Amino acid sequence: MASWIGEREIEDLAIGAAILGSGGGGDPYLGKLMAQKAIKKYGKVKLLSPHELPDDALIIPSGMMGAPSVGVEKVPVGNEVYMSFKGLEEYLGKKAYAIMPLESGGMNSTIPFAVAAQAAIPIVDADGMGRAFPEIQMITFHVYGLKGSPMVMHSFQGDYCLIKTTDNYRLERISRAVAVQMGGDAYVAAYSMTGKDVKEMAVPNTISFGIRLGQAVSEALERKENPLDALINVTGQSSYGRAIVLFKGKIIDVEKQIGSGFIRGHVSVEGFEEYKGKLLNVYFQNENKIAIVDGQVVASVPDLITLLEKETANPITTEALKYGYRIVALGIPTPELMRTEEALKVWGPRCFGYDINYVPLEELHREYYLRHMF
Amino acid sequence: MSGIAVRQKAETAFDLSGICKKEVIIEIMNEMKFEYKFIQDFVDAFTAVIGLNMIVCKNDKILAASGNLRPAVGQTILNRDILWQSMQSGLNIIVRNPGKDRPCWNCEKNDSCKYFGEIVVPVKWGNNSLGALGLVAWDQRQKDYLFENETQFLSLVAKLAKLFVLIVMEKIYHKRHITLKTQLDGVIGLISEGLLIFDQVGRISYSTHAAQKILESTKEELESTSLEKLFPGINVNDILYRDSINLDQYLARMENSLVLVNSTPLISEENDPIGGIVSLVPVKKNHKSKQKYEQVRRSSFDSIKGVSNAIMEVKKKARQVAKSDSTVLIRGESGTGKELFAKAIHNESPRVWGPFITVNCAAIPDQLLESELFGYEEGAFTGAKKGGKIGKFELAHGGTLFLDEIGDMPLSLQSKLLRVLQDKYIERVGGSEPIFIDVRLIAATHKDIEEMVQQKMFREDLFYRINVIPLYIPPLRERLEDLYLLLEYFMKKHTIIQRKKAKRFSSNAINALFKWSWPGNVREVENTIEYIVNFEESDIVELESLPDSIRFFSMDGRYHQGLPEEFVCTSNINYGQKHESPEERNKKILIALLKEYGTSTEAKRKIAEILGVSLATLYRYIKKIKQQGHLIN
Repeated sequence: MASWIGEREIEDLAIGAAILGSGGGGDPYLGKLMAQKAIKKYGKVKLLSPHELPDDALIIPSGMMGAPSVGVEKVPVGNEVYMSFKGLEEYLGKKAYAIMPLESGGMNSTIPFAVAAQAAIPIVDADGMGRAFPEIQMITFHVYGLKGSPMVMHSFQGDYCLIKTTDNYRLERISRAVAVQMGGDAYVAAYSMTGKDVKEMAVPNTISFGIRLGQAVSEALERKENPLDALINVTGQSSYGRAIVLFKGKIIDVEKQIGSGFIRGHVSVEGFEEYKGKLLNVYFQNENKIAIVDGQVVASVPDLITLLEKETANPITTEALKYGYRIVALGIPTPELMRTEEALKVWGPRCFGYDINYVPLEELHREYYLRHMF
Repeated sequence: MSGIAVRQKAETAFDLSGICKKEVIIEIMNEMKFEYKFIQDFVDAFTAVIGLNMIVCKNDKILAASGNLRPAVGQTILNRDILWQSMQSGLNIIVRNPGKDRPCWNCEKNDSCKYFGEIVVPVKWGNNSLGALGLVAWDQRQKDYLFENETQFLSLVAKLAKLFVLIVMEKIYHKRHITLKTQLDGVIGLISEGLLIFDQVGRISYSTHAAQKILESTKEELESTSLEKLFPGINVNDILYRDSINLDQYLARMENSLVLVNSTPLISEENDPIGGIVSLVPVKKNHKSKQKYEQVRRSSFDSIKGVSNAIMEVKKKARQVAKSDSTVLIRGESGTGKELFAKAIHNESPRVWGPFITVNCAAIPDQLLESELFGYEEGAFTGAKKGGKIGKFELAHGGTLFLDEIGDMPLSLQSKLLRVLQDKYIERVGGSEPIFIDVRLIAATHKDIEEMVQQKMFREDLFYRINVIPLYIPPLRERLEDLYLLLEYFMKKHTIIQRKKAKRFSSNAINALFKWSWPGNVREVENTIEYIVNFEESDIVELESLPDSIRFFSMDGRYHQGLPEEFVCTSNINYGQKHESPEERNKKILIALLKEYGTSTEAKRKIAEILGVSLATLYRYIKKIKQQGHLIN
């Protein structure tokens, strides 16, 4: 059941990861290059489904934290995540059975492949959110009781830091400060866990889904078919659930504020085609969080809200939003693991300052989903 | 040569038979009289620039003339005039010394001619002269100029003749085009379907009023866009270079707009596609089509869940065979989705708009199956309905007949089915008239049909007749990578329907679910999840929340060897209570299986198969459990 991931799959994953990033997670380009280079040098990486892990296996999630845009300007040496991973292994005094991404949006989907190739270990087809979130405690591992520390951080200059905290909120504050001092971004290994924990807490099959998303889009474009249809069909064959078109229109206004390491703001979209005469507002904090059409909430976090270029289905990150883009706003339901009561206490709309209750996409668009479920 | 009339044979360039048909030229000549102003303007402009006088005549009338010749417009040509002679002979005539040259001898104005020189070229269609063009020098300077450039002027005049004709021809065709378009608009306006005409790159060049109404767009909006922009997902090349676009596929892409789209290419005389026509039918007005749309969307290959290589291969193969009319035999265990595949094949086949009729051969008593399939005539047997009854074959006419569990069909009926498949005719029970049927057959079975053939329980000839395209749907245990997807899908489905809260699985539950052999396949997964959603109250699904059969049992790849004789569970998973003896646990497993599968002989055979023991051993254990006081019927 395990499959082998080569350079071609990483190419597809980069596209899929950008879609799952919901506007955040950064440009996967850098992570893609790092993973492809490592795979070329060390060989393909084995992808394991969570149920294939022994219960007592040590799994170390790894990735990047901080501002992804910094990484693009201040290109990493390439072994930072590997060093963090190895550092945590050394501290724990045990060899890891496999690595796992922390999140499956943007560059953090692909970076762990570089480590897996170099360390010659498998990668787990799962992650801690099935999308991208901005803070270290916004992860299923935290929600279901796992401690993020000990955490190892590495900078591109070679600085090394081990953090042990009493809780995951303190871990976020301290590690964020360290990341700023490391130059705006840092490469980390945290939330070490067992195979048993992965089965209970991780969102399964997110990497293989990202690959299939990317494959569907690029194959549709090659065949000159509509990539949006291909994308929606693939989501229907995943543990997320079928995506829904929330809106089509042209961006007429973008308001962005950058501060405290986050990018906040909203984008206004004037509808066309069947949405003519309507207005969409998407509010974002690194990732798109709430979508409102004419005062009516049509999707909210933790469901995925992705803005795509209409013709190419190319995802647009919040940093890249600008006037004139003709977009399709897509809603993708989040996996069930992300919707439990405990989970919504950590990333429900109120956690981001929006005074609304979370209503799942399937409930907001009940008729559409009932039609597609039967 | 001076002083002698030079006659040259007209060049072919002056002959209009190479340009247009005779009836067209007649029309042109008639039209000329309406276009004389345009010709006169041209002749005037020519004289102003070149300095030579020009005269144009049609038959015996002077149509246009410039300079000193202008007063002659509208007059009849004098008999034996040079223009007249040129038309009569069909030859170019050059007069260098007017009044003296031979052509002038018979001219009525021979004595009073004021010309200094003349070149006349006839305009012909085949051997018939239609008119003539002349260039006239009115003084010595013009004469010198004319004859110094004689060859060039001859050629120019010929080309002008051709130009006049072409311009008039264009005007005629334009008028015809406008008339035709008005007539077509009138005809198309009567059609309720919306029509769009597009060119070879998909640009829409024409839209009917009905199309504008259906798409809620203006004529300008539609005719400034392309087909691909209007209908995302449509591929113009698919229409141009293949058959007409597959209707159901397109509907699936239309999502909520509910417009049936059909199209056909327009092929040029050179056999090149030059564009196409799209017809649009608003489905909202057609209840039957709307229902069909829903059926098609719900039973497509996309609705069959699974992304493993095993299932993707079957879907790919099934999609390929869907396009043909060949008989398909679907093999697969219970719950693998044989009927879903059959419906998806029907919905992607050209028979999509025909009926899809299902007959479960195992669910209908043998004696009734024949009349169910073929129908009966009034009075065919005791209890037969008045007026008779139409059979499933007839109902499926023009569509697909799905014979589920064909392995359960009685032998007597098998031979009749074979004959129907070969002859394409049926006879109702008690009837004598053969009825033609056009039906595609899809059959399915979970039985080892080859083994049945060996044991003479299934006709060999029928087997080969239906096994044209075999499709094997893998059991879930052979594609366990799809299990997460199925668990999540059914969890979402049932929490949405019942408006329950999301749940997650404990690692023990996950381990057990992945070690279970899923003999009931996808159907069993759905039932399991429905059970959990109904009965599990906490957010986390623990091992204890799973159905007994899964909880106590491990597939573990070796599960057949795991339980014989003393049912020793070899799994490394700690099922149930730790203090339980293996015998106690095995008893629970057996009871759970009996609860799940029932206590019929068939069920017991299945349980024995799952446990890897003989039927006799199983009976021995059941007897032992009964003796211990457990109630098993």
